Amino acid sequence: MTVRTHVVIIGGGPAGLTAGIYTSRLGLDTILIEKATLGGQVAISPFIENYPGFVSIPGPELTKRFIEHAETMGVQIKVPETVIDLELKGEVKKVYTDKNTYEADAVIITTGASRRKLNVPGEKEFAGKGVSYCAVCDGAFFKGKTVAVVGGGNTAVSEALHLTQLVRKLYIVHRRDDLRAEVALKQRLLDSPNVVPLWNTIVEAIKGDTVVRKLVLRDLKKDEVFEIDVDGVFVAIGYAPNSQLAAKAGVLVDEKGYIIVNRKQETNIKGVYAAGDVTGGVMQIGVAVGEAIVAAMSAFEHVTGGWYAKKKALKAVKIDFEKLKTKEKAIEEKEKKSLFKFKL
Amino acid sequence: MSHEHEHEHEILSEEDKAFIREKFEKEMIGTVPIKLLVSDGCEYCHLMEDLLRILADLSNGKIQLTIEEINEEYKNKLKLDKGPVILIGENEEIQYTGSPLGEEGWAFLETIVLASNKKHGLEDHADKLKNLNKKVRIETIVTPSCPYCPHAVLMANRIAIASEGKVVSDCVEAYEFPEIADKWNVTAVPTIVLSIEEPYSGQVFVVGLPREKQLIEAVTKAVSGE
Repeated sequence: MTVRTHVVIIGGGPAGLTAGIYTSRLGLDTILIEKATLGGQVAISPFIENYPGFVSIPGPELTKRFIEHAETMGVQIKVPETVIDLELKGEVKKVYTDKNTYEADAVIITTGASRRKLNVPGEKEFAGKGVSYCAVCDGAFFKGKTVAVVGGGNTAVSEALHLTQLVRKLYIVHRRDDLRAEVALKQRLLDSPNVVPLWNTIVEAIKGDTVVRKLVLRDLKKDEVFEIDVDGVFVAIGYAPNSQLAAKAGVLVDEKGYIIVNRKQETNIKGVYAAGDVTGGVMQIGVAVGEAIVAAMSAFEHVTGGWYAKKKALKAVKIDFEKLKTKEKAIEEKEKKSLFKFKL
Repeated sequence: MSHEHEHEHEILSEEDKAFIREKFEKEMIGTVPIKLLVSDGCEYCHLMEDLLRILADLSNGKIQLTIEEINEEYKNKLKLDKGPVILIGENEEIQYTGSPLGEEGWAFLETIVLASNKKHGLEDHADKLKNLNKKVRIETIVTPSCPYCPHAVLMANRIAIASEGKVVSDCVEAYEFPEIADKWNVTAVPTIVLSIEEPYSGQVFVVGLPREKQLIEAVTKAVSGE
């Protein structure tokens, strides 16, 4: 089936959902395509403590709110649906998926980044048999067992913190002599009684029989190889951008594969924008959200010809006003109940 | 067995109930039989009993709920000796071994709606499924905290509906049925296992979320033995 729309957003993480909220509210017909699960990396983050307004919120909960917001504002979400090819250079952009073809005036690429693999012997063989990339999904299989988390950034440390509550012993395997993660996370992890850090250490191989049994490690300082017994290994050594399809369609990427954008989140192709982790940088939800807003505004200008210029006749917005009203009412009621504001 | 059980929290908030009532009212056309099999000393059976009673109530009679002890016949047929097991559809083509807790919730509701309408909603490639000459079981092993899992389960459930009785889709909750997860050495979810007829000699098809087309092809290939 071929569907004509104003905007197609590819990727349903925070950037994609935010871009959708904005383009939809601006009156553009918006289709968002997600191949796996909405929320992207946030959906599998044990907790988020640095998104303003939420002191601590589980990733899946924040995701739920983003989705509800986007749906209420009228974004048509297609999930799971996989984009298999892109034609971006013409005035009408074509997005081919495993189910449909979409034609749009503008495309916003928010495909994010995926976990990097270790690329060591045994990793592929034992994927799903002790090797995992999602502590939230798989953590409880290792209750009372010994696991290793490989990595030293925020993702590795927050996943490790989640796992410390489940496992007997947790090794954190890191190639440097200190964690790169925020101090707020680092401190808590290293203070946990069941955590053993292995500094200056890299993974050379993963061994086992039907499941993972051992990690073969190299101490970079002593230049020695040694083994540890583990039941599982969680890999969190950083991200690689999901930009292959965009690059194939002519979107310029940098040497690491991140999509190159300007301050308006424009790519080198007119009418094509990118936002969030796929553009690299600090990989934060707040940044993804901010970039997505800029991308959405830029897409709006492109589609309509500018704020005041010959606005194409936009159809009525698809906002679910009924739902919006209920939400507003719920907030009102809540406020009525709390007559006293004891805090600021 | 009309007793209400005590729960620490309400299973469904009034807001949830209103949402489900409206969804069922709008989207459910036909009726759907749902059978819950329970057993003694089963941690989640009471919770499932209460959840399904509420859902049946919200469906305004469209969910035809029966609750029974898991008997010898089912024990042999399903190779299980405990509950909760939920069987959905006239051919019991959709099975939940363990509770559809957490992330599975929305896909469970969607499945009830699809099964009541006998509509699979697969985009393409679905015709092949009606002509399978052997029975196939798709086991999707999940955890309640895995956001990818319900997509895989829903895909398998759609395939079961489209196959008109040839495919059974079984969503296995790994924490309640660790013996099944262990049998396939599952440590990451979703893991999808495909098996052909009895005695089941299945194998892991994929760890992770496949595309609809891939899973349908895998099912048809499993039958043709390619």
